[in-house]
Amino acid sequence: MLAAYRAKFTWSGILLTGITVFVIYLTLVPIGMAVYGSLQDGPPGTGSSFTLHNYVRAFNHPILYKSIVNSLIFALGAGTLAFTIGCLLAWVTERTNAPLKGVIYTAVFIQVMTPGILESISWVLLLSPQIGLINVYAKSLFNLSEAPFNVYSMTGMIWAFGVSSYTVPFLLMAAAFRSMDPSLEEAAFVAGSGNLQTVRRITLRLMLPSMLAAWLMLFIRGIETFEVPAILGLPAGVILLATEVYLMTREVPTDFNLAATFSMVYLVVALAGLYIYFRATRYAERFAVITGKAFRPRLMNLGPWRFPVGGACLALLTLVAFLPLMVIVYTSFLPFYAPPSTKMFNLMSLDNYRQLTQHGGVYKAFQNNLLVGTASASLAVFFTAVIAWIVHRTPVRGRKLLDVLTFSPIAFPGVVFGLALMWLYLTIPVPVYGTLWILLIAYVSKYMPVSMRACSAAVMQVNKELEEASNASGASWWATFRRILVPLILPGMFVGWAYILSLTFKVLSLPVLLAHAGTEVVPVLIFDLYEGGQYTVLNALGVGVIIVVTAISLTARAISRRYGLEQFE
Amino acid sequence: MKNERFKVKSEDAMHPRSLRILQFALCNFHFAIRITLWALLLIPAPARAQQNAEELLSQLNKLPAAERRQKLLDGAKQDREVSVYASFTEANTLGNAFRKQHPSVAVNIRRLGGGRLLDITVTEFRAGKHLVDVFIGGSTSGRPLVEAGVIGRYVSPERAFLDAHLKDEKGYWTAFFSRHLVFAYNTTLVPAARLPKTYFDLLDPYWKGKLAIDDHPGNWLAGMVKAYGKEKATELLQGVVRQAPKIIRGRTLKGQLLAAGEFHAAVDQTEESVIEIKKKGAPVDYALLENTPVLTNPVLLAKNAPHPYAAALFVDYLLSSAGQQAVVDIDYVPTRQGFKPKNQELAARAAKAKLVFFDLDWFGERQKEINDLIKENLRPHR
Repeated sequence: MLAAYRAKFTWSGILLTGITVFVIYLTLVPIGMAVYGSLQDGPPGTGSSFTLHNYVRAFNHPILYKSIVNSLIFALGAGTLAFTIGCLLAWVTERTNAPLKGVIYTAVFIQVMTPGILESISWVLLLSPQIGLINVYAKSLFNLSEAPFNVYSMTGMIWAFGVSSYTVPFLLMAAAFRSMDPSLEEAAFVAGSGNLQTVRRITLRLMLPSMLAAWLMLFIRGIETFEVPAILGLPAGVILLATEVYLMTREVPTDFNLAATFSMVYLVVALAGLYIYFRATRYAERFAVITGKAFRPRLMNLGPWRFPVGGACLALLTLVAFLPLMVIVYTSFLPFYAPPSTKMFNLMSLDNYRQLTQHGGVYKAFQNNLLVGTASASLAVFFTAVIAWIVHRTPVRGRKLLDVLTFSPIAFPGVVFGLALMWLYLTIPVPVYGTLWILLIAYVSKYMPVSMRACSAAVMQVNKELEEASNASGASWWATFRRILVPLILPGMFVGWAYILSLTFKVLSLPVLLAHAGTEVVPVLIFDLYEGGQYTVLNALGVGVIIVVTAISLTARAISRRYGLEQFE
Repeated sequence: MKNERFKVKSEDAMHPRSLRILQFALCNFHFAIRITLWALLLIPAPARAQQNAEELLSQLNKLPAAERRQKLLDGAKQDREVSVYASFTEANTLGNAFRKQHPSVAVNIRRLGGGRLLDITVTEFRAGKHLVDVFIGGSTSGRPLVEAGVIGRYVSPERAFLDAHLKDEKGYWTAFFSRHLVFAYNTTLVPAARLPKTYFDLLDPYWKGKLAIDDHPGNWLAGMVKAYGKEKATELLQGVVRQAPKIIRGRTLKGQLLAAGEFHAAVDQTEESVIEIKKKGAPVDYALLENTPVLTNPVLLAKNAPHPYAAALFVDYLLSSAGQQAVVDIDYVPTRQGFKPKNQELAARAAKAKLVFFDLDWFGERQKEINDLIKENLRPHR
């Protein structure tokens, strides 16, 4: 029996198994700790015992149900807004001959990289009834007695969050549109369909996996995001589930058990979403548009509408991306924030940037962040590409479970995730605590869900006949994976990569627990400046992050395009 | 053999060898979980240090002053570094000032927000990992750290120069700087005649919709409880909530929005966040109302400090004249007798005002009560 097994060991098999086991290890630890924590009456290491009381504490709360309803409205509203903007822009850039594509791409990358806290505050400075610039100008322009917009409302929150998250659907959909075989659309044209009908009945239906993936991520982000609910929701008196969780668990020390219990709620939401996704995409071969036939993504000729469409996109981007960006850039030159005036323009200087360069930790933080950010993004994307291949291409039992496991970490708030990892690596003899390695482990496991959906949707687009051909010609699994599949799904992989890189520069919840003296990353710096009372310097840092990371992402994109599908054009 | 590769008929035949191993791994998934759980249970209990920093330093304190000092310096040189967890940004400047006096001792500062400082330290402590020597800053996390057993007693000789309300009897904590929670206002929006004298003046209808308050005003409320008693403080909080204040998370944001005119005044602002933008010309000022709360920010020494001599040297330094001068230089309020804040205006205003001090122990005992008061009363209202 053993001999039979030994004979069947191949390098591909070992690689596949190794990655699978490692991914299971990465994800199972935090999940296990969270489930366990939600059923205990004390944090790890205190000799706690089993209890269900946490669930009673979490749900026996009069406002909880109202906050859940609010959260649903918020997530659906912002998701719809973000999805519409993202799809529209992606379609225009990838499938039409409208101008200004470079501008749109750059704007999207800039927005991906903008720290969320700065963007939320920008919307206060633009749309607050008291001091919002748009309100002030609208009032004087149209002689209004009252401010036309109020950012401190559910609508305001949906707006602020929606326009900051259209980047996810944009990137996912752009990748999907890029890999689209136009012959199906051409068939529709030949059969007499118009432009719109073709888009609706052919293009959008073929895009279903990517669309659902985008929706799923938007929705979960909408449920658990905290910046907009805290900055706009608290003053507005609109309480979301995320705010409620924060209000109930903010005491020091963190109520690990209650936080873990709430993460079970997020987990249920995430798994329900994943179930819908599985159901809708269960006939994967329907979406396989990349086949053995040669194709070249065909651009729709907009004719005389070329420039109006390009102009409309620019106007939309001005509203959703450039306005908040301008506020951030403007503030970064000021000694303190005040609405633009001659006096303020005279006060503008480079002082904040100077102060930033004198802050000892800046270079180190950027260096650490670039290192650990690119490494974890690359690893996460590689792992999830392999997992996506296993899920969609092999008949092994338990492959769906693998997908579920890889996607689950999306549900766990950073504090639960971070404390679980801390505890594990403090108690097992693996010396990563206090080094950059623990951040790498944390980032890979926490952000794999993001690239999992991107890679999974991309793999579904590729017809397996291409790999079969390679296999039949004697190529090993690794050769097929590297030379056939990866180039074909590269746009999807790149989306995951860029997005994860941006998250490592933005999200504080993990590094705040895991970064030590000497392993600080940029979010720790952001937190430091935010807490330390230097808001204008923080804006300067934001501008620095945007410039550096956007440049890296655009370079990486240029490289990936050379290696990817484009070469067949 | 080679021909077998061309017999690709169905999905299952695609990679039979590779998949069998994968299938084996996935089928034994439960087994793997069980092994992991067992492994977690078998983790050895943390080993205890033979003599902890607390005992070592109390023996050291029995020596004559000069000998003690020499032993401390020698020991610190051997320790070579001190590991500090700090809850405020300027900790690095203090670390550099210490380094100037003691070039042979490196200062590693881990900068952590109040709540996270406690989470991290307690988790490390429970796991039996002793990585930290000294804590500086946390006015809210100090007492829970003592209760968790992380902190050791250390009676620095420099404590003799501090007033009684700035240190505890047993030697767990010593305040090395303090902060006032001031009433901050926008000078273009609030006329001088409207300035309140006490917090109860804020209940005047004039202030309806004009105020802002922190989303967790624990320190401010503690001051009110200390000054007026729980009942009256609760009434005050409820009255302020009825004025529909903007609930803002983060004092930096609150300060900037105040300068921009988003609201007229902030009830509980730490002084340095107002003073800094005031200096730069922003239209803001601050007033010390009757019973302005004063936060005391402590230095504490870890019971199992891995570098006990360097830790004690660092604590001594922060409380010494040199260390207090460094505190003054970063524009904080020093605690040592005879030292005044650099900002003359603040010093003058503080000298005239009626302040309410509450120490770590007093606050620690009432922390839960105060948290509950906030939970019950400070809910966002439309």
